[in-house]
Amino acid sequence: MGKKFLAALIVGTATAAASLHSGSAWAKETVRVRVAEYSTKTGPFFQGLAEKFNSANPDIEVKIEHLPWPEMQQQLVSDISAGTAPDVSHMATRWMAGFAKDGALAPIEGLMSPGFADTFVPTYLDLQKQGDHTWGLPIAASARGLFYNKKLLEQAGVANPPATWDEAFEAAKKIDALGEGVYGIGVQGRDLDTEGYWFYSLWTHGGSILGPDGKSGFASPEAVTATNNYLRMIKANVTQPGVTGSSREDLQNLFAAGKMGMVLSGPWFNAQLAEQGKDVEYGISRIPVATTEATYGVTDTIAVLESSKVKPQAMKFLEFIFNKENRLEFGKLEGFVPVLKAESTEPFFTENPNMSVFLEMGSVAKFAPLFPRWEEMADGLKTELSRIYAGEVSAEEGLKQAAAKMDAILAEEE
Amino acid sequence: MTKAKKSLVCWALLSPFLLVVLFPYATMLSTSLKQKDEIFTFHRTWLPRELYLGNFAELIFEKGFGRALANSLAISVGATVLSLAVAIPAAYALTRMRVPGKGALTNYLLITQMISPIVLIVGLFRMFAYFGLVNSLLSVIIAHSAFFMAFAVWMLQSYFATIPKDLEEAAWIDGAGRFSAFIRVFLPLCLPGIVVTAIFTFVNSWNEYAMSLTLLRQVTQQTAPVQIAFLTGTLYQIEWHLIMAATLLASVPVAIVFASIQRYLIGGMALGGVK
Amino acid sequence: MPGIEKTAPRRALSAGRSSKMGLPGPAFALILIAPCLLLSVAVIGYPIFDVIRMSLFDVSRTGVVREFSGLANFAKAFADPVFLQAARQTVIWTVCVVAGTLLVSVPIALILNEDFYGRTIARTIVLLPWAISLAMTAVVWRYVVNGDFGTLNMTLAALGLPFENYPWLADARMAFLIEILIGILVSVPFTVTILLGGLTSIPESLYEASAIDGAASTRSFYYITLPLLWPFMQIALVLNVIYVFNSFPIIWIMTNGGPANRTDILITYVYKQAFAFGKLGNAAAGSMVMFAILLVFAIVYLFLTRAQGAKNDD
Repeated sequence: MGKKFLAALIVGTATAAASLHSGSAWAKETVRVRVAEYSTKTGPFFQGLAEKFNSANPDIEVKIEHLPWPEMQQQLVSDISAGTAPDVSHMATRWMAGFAKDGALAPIEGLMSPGFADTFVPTYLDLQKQGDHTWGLPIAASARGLFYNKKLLEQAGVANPPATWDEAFEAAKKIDALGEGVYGIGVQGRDLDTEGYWFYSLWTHGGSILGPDGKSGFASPEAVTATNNYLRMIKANVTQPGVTGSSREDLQNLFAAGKMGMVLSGPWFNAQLAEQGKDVEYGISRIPVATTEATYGVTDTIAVLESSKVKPQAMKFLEFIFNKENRLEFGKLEGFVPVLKAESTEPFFTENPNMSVFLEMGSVAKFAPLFPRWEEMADGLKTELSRIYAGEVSAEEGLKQAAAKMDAILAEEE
Repeated sequence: MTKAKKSLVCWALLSPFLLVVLFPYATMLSTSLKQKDEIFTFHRTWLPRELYLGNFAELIFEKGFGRALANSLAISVGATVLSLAVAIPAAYALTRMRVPGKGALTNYLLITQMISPIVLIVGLFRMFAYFGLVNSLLSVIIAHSAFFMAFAVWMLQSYFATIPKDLEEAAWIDGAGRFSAFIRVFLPLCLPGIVVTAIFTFVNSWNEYAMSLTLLRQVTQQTAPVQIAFLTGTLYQIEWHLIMAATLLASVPVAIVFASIQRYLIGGMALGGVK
Repeated sequence: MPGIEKTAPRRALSAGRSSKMGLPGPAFALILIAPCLLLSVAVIGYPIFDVIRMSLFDVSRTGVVREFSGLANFAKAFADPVFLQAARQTVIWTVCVVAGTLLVSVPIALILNEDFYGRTIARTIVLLPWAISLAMTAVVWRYVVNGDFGTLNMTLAALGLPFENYPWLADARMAFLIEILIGILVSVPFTVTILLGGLTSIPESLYEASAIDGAASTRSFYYITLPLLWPFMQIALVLNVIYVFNSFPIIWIMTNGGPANRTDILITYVYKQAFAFGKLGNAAAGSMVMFAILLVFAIVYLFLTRAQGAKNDD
């Protein structure tokens, strides 16, 4: 309390002084902002934004902390539990629901300036809402598409990128037959986003994560067909060897080396290919379809924490990073699709075919549900998928297990 | 058997293991000399396109890896000194004096080794945060010492037990105080044992990851293992060329220490009797 | 570790004499021990208390301790088939790594104890795995065993073996085997150091005596080296069991417990529960079970060595 009183005193004096000396360092409120790294450029980018912001707002000092993604959850949990959480933190949107439920996040609808919320593409902002509150802003958004190696397709005699899964299977067979060390299509089997890779097939076969009865859709007939879609490719040996040992990076690396004909990935992959796959001529098309067109939309969230004492200042910084100019720079740097309406018309997104395809698919994007215990459900699914891909259980059997686990968690939550 | 012939046999017998040890080092060296676009190529090769030292330069001049090494060094030296400072008197008392509850103490120390720091990290962080000790190299030094000290006490205890008591006693009879006998007679005799213990502690602290990560949040305070982990932890691509260079760099100081303390390592152990 | 106490027979003698010297009493001894004890209790005491508390309460994902829940967290852990699977795998992991480490380390220590050209270099190389943190070792090895780009397949293929793009980590058994081998590799330096210490403490005269007796070198190994080395092997065994049982980075980084939880061990299970699923209470209960297992191991060990010691005294 004494500290607070002192601070108030200082603020009071400083406000008086500030009228005389603008830019006085006295009454600075520190806003700690934590970002997770998409690439090694992420930290420096936000550092740069903070410097710009700080010099324009002499009464606020934004401090950027950046962390690798794998450590984010552990650190955030430790910090919140110890009362040392930052004022603003980046997180995966799928963790947001859990943190919001446990009271760790501050609702921001009352903090935002009038009209600010309307600058967002509604789909992406809506994902940050739960109950009656908005819990964060969509700091990154991506859709997924089919990356194909033009040269390999041409050599295999495939004229156009496949539009359906059957075409994709046929193309994969032909590409795989090109020779040693060349694989038709990638299927992901481990780590982050393994379930996402499966959703591509699930949704395009008309399946859904949550069935119409409010129970898990993992074991629906559509889901089984969707799984068998990948399984036939694995069994025909037109995927990379060792699906259950391949992470997203592994698939991307194979594609960047020119060893893989087709892989499903997101816009960030353009950035890697520009550096590590210079020789690969590639194109991006929509995700192959069986019955329904779809893509996986994913956002990450930046949220204000409930424990923050400087929420308005934190919001001010958030509004700064979400202005059009800064977002555009970020989008170009990391390769994310626009979350602001104003960005969507920029030539960078509309004229570059490797970006516009993701923009176009935005309208058919589906999202993972915002359950507080989604991570557990997804982990159960991942486990079963790797058993199915390894040929240990049939798709029906494995998916039934995954659905049972999800339903059990749903029942516990009620 | 002549020494030359014996040497040949020894090296031949060791070679499978040495090969396995050196293989990742060869991988690190090869990859750290490659440029970013050479990591994933259709035809893999051991040899880089050219002798490229840019990764090391980038690490040191742009990523501040030199600073991370310095932080690691400061923490490891600090933790070693602090551990020894508390472990030496304790081990001395345990071997040379009648200590009430000695068994309980030894058991307690063993128990502290049984719980992984990873399990304790949330509680540890809460406590340090409560005392405002986050973001200070000192807090990591304290945490490392607390965790690694038990092992130091054991090691020292066993060395101390092998030092004949007569020598000290002779010094006391000559009129030296117990303290000066300890400093002038006892410590020099145990020096090899102390050096070995110091090395164990140093290496453990140098390689420790979870506590350093959690207690130090500022980029300027990162230790080497933490910074290397940061290079692997970006979401969309792993900077293998930098990781390999950094790992290689981080292992050099320790390797030099190993090479230079061989004499102590073996001589110290010759006194034997780890307990 | 009473079994080892026998290596210092001098102690009983000197302890008996010292009491006559009028040494400072137990109070002084406690003063010497106090800093060590204080540091340990101050730093480790609260976190241990915290884990025990969380294991008995309902805890939010942000560590807020809510109401007392008795043994509910433990019940949940034991009801989870993955937990039981991880427990079984932990036993396999610990036994294989520790036994493998001893099997590899004893011959290496014996060789390094010989006098040969380049011994210092050989010793330094043997210690090298210790120069890299476990996490980084795991990262490097993950690259080494990568199917298409890893240096292992590159080398095997160059030798004409059919490992052009073999995916080492895709099959759970193979992945676990590789993790165990790496576990052994990183435990060898520590173990060899301890064993070398034991070997150099064996007086040369013992061997000379047995050579005069005409004992073959294999016999002198069984009758001299091994018994004298045994106490050191015991230390290595106990410490390795503790360290390996709790070892997190190798498995976490190389396979993350997968495929299908087949390489999960308790520590990776606990970590996932705590930080991926936000179930801190379950994680704390899992940690307590881990601790209990090690404690049982330590008690059994002490019991066995004590029994053995008593037998030897007869």
